[in-house]
Amino acid sequence: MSMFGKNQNLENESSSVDTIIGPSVSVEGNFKGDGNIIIEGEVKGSLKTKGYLKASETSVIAASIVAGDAEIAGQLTGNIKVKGALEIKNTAIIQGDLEAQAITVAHGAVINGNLKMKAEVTEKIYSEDETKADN
Amino acid sequence: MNYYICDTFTNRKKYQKQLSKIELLLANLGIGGKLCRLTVLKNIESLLEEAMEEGAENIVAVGNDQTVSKVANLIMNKKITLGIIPIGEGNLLAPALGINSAEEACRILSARKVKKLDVGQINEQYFLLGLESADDNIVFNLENYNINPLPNNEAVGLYNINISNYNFRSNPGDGIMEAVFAPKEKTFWQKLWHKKEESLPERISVFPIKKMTIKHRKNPVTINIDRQRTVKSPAEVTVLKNQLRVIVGKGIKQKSIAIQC
Repeated sequence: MSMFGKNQNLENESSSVDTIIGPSVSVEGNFKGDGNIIIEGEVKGSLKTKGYLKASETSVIAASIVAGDAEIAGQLTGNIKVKGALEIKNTAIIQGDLEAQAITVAHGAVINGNLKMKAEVTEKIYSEDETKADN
Repeated sequence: MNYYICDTFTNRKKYQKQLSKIELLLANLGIGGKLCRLTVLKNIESLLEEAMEEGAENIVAVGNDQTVSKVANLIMNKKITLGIIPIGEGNLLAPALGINSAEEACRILSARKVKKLDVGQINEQYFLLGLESADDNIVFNLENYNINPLPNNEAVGLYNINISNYNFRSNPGDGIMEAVFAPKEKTFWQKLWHKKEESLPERISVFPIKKMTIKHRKNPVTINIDRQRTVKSPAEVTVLKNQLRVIVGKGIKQKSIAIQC
């Protein structure tokens, strides 16, 4: 099973999709997976994966999400924490806090929540500012 | 020693010529053995018991998927290797294992390339191909979550080998089976109605499964096992990794998931 890197297109890596939550099912509970996930249907609860998560326009998610990398284009009510890159598409409607190493937000996306970038990066900036001030 | 078990339907006149040809080919290849024909009086259980008493190492199911499933159920947990010679209609398993004809099957048996396949267990029964149901009332209950099919599903299944018409990847030796939920195709009027929205084609849902309980919302649902037996929900399902030794051909087919965005 191969993982998706940043900015890689899921469509090009069709063979590494492990779970597809299509529009004809509803998942309730704490879903945990290691692989790549496509969501086009309903998810309620929590969702955790080490791989890539793609929530399409038709997805309706009321869950907290933890993923390796993610792309959100549907409705999300809940916090999302991504280890790598998070891409918010213009059709996304998000009610919750976002945390990622890198975040891309398309024009038209609706986000009601806090955005937090990787802690190490912000700490580095602060420490650089402090050294400049000391000099 | 090889033990060939021919299913009841192979006693029909139209299969006699093919059976004689197979017998001759097996003898020429030096893998001839005891050929037993199932009849109304001779059932598969007594034949297999007899074969095991005689120390059979390989038992070859001569027939279709139902024959293979029946034999596989009875040789589970025994030190026996399963062979397949596909005859008649309803053979999806053999081609999936790289066995495309009865003649090819004889050569494959001679080459004896053995692969350990996963086997599914539903309550006290075993299955090789998969489970299927057409009832939306079904619920797949996994350790921490439930999968509920919505009313627009055509079929729900759990597959070891992709014997369905749906496009997804399955590997019968990875210890995982694929739960598949296939939505109904849109009618002409629905397609016309959604034309302006340029909606995406309805995609199947696929979940990797190792263990689950099949439950129901209101009334118990009927679950089809290997397209030959049925069981009612609730039922416990477990995937037994590499549990059955099967003689296979060179190219085991694995369909892949098609992404249609």
